[in-house]
Amino acid sequence: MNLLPFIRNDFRLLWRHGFAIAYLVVALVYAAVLSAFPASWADAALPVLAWSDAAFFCFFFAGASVCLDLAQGTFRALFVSPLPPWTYFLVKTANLSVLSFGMAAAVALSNRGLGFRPLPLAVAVIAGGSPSALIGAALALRLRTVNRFLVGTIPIFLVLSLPILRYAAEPWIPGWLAALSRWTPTEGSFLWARAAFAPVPGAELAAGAAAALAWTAAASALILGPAVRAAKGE
Amino acid sequence: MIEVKGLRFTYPRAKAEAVRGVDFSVAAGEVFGFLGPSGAGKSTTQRILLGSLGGYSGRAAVSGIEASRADGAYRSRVGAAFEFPCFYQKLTGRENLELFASFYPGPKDDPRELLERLGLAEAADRRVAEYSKGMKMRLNLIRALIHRPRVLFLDEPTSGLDPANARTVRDLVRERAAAGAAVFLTTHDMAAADAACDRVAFLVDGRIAACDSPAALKRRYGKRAVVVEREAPERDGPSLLSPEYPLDGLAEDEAFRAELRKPGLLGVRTLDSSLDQIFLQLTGRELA
Repeated sequence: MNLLPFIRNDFRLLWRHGFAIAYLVVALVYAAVLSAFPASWADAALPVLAWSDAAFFCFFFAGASVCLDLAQGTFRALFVSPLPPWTYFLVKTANLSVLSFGMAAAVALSNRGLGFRPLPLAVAVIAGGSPSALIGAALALRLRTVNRFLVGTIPIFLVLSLPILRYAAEPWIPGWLAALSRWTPTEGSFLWARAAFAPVPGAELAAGAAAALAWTAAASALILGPAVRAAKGE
Repeated sequence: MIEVKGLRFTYPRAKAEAVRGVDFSVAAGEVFGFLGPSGAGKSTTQRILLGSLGGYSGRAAVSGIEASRADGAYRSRVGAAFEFPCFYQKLTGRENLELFASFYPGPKDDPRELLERLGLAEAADRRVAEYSKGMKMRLNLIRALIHRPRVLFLDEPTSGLDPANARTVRDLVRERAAAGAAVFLTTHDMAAADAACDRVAFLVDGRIAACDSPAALKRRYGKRAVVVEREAPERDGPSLLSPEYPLDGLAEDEAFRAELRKPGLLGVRTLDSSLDQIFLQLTGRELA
């Protein structure tokens, strides 16, 4: 199956629905905020902003994209075609990850020039974007409308944000919360985002990548699979 | 091409079966009409055959492959046009066709030819959000046909179309059948079914109440008789109908011949049943 037309048209949809513009606007806001910060603050905030490009944007935009498909009824036509459902989610995740990487790299360039490592940043985007996009898509399949998705995913959003809470306030949060944050789907991605701007031990990065892979597999098998079956059965 | 035998299905948490032991088959080159009121089980049967609904009992197969095991190869043989067209509203008609056609392997029809044939050539580069219902219905049919499926599932394909476009759609469907496709047509429109289908099945409460060619059904359920219609004596009054004359021995029927010699002859009508009347006769229910 030639996936190029699907990738191209999915990108068109991201553009025409305004997702690409949203990325651009947020990247400009991030760059402006970082430029206003003192250097030490900007150094601390940069990994968080780069990570959020993948973890948050892939989560919300994958969910919104699925809600649009549900509203337009296009899943009916997709599910009777030979397109395997995993391909649909792969293309959505890949396109959003490319936009997220572009945004994160642009923000990093605006603040650091070439003083960052693009490969760990790319890994951070993939490691954060994949599980987040899959979880967002699966929740959207269950919640079905953008409004219900935005409200219903607040608890999940808070869980995905835990690595940031630990990063910013570890001495002040309960130990159990810090421990919980290490098991969230976005923890591995955040380690790689930090590695793009400062050294992080290799063992931690390997563990982070493995965790992200495991979360992606788990999201596909345990969340997305049943959600797709439920959507098909309706 | 399509084989259904003893098909039964109950929706989760439902008490009654939606499909209750349905049997039929559709051969290559045949247009098969699946008729019935809302809730009769038409859409459920179609969804099972499209591989979208599992958990049924009995047999539901396309080209010998059971629908419950529908894979990419199964789906690539099938084309489906749903009653409510579903497209990416922010893509143009042409972009939608390019996108959906890319999911199917093998040779495809030239979208320009189909767009031209169905009167959408000029609108092809407009976003689908700007299309009328009739335009979406025609684009819906093109999407179902473009990958040259061997089995076509069409749900109300002429709904919302003007008579000229409805005829073009029927002609296109007949052409595909003539080229060897099996066509499964679900509709409430008895006239459309009569014009397009080789055989029709009436589905009532999950069961097939009758299944045959429209002509055979009309003969079976109609009267073998004619009536003569004449002008009303007063201007603008309703026309007059003679008593019924049996077809057997009609040429020698003196009363009938005398009827024809009376002034104001408008025509002679046969008393065949229409498919609507047959449906009423079979079920006692109006088509919804």
